[in-house]
Amino acid sequence: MQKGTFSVSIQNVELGYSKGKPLLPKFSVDTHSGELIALIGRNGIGKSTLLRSIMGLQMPMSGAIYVDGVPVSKLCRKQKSKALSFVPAESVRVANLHVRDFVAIARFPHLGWTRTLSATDWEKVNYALALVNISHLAQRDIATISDGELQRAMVAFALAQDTRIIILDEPTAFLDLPNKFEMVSLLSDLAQNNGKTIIYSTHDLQGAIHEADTIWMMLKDGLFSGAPEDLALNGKFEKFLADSEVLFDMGSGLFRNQRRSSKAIVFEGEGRAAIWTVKMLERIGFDVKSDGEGLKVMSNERGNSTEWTLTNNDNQLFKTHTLYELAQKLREVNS
Amino acid sequence: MKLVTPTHNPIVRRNFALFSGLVVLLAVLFCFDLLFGSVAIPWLDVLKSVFGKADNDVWNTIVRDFRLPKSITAVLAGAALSVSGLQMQTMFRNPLAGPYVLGISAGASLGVAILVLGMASLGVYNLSGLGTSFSLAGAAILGSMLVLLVVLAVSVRVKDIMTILILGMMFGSAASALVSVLQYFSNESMLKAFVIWTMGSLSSVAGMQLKVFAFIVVVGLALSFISMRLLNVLLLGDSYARGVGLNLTLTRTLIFTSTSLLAGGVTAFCGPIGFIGIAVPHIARMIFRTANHAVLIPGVLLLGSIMLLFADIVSQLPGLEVTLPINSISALLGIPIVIFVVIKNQRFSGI
Repeated sequence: MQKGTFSVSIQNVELGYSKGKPLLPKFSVDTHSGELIALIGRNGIGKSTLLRSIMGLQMPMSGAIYVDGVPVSKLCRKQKSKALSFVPAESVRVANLHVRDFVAIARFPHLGWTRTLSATDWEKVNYALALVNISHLAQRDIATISDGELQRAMVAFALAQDTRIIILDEPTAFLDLPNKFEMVSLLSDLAQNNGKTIIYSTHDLQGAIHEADTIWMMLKDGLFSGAPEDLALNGKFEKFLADSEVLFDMGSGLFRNQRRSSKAIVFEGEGRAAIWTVKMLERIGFDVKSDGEGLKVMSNERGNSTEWTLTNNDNQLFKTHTLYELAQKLREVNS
Repeated sequence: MKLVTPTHNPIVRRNFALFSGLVVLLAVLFCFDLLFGSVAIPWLDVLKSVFGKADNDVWNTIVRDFRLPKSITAVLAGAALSVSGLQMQTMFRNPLAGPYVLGISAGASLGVAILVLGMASLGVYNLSGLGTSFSLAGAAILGSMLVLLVVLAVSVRVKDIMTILILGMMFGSAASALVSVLQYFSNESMLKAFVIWTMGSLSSVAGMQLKVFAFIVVVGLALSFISMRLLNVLLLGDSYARGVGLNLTLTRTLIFTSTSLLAGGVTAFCGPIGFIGIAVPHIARMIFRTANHAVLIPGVLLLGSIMLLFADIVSQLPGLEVTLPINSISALLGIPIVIFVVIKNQRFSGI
């Protein structure tokens, strides 16, 4: 095998802290440049250990990790910091530190002995800020920007370090929903357009399914690599969720909690209102059927508003315009 | 003209103005410090006697042998304490860190306590000797070096900076405990000599001692200038520092050595002068509004000298014949400033 063709090549690696007790069985996996890889796994499975091992901060118990064809253990500190950049999970909240000055620190491996930035260095810093769309924040104090902006600044840091491989430890952990999606799609763009290999650990499987080229799924019986769709089809997602209450819905590609449906209910209705009514009914623990006896809910769309009617054996119990009130009434009837 | 002069950048222009202002303030305070003392000397004669040209020989002696060395000591000690305080705050990313956080002053106290309380009680050492302050300094340096060596040995093995901080504090506490034991067993006059040492004094450094002290401080400051850019990286924490390939062990050794030379040197020659080292970095951050150590280190250096000179002027109580302990004055002056900084920023976490 030609190791030089892969940006990161992991060969027969065993991770762990005590001899004879690896966190998971030996595995081998390779990456190409331009690839966005999401590292998924339950807490404590060894995601951070793997990332640290790729960074060369920790030796794997056995096997070897190659970066651009060279074992990472053979790289000196400076070579490593020019090949790989790392974005830690902890946020940088240093008062009086401007965003541009923060990103400028990433040029450290490229500086001479005077440790001063040249015009080219500053150009790279500005380019990195522009790539993540935060040029307008360059003069802001890093302690005062939002979490989403800070995470972008941290990505800019890695870009300014100008390495082919970028490793991020849970870059979406503290972000709100729109920021989560934007961050992953930003990483995807950077991988595709700038030829970077980006490996990020995350608990946001949903986001990874939508944007990542590859998912590395760490399970107790090994690390499984593949396109998100491959892992969905060969049942790795179910395995990932095996001893939890969460289900992966193959049809919609969504995750949801297992429902302990106890009581049956009949629902009649159409359109978007119908979809959300069924969601609500399942959420509060009903097994929804399309016909039968007993409790029955009908939705009726009238212009902009929807009216729900609740009946029991054709006796009308309740009428409302919100699902909230309907849910309350149903809980009342149920108890 | 297409010149990239500093004046084109508003931040650089502002810093240039600030630095100029601080240098002028330092010079003015230095002159004031020479003017005041328990003997009133007209200002023109003070100026003359600096060069040994005053008509009155007593005045010449007072200014050249006492006031001038004391003012120079204040400048050096203020700069040393403040720079080492800044280094420790950045290194431990803790706003409450100061020059003595690694137990350097406790180590120095232990050295002095062993000398003054232990040896003197046994009659081995006589406090009234001419070499007193030199042997005090030697004992203090040995004590702080001992603590530093232990901390360095630990920091090579221990990777986590907070563990190093806790261990440093523990070594310091152990040294203080030993000092208490020595105090308990020593007689009254020895105890008083030791307590006076802990109050700090700028006036016991002159002649050869001043040269040695100045050398130690200059070497310590030179190391701090070398570590300037490394401190900027450390500011982001160890994960980032490793990520950009910073040699943590080497950097820590450099900074610990610089701090122990600075803080250890001051403690050895002037006693443990508290508070300046914690307060001045915060004042500098407020004035310069930056986290860049290329600006902060020279800024802190100047501000520290200014603070301690000012404290020295106040401690002489111009017009009176008594001199108050410099340690109390530096604290009493610094505390209102820090309270002001804290209330103005509503937080103290500016590291």
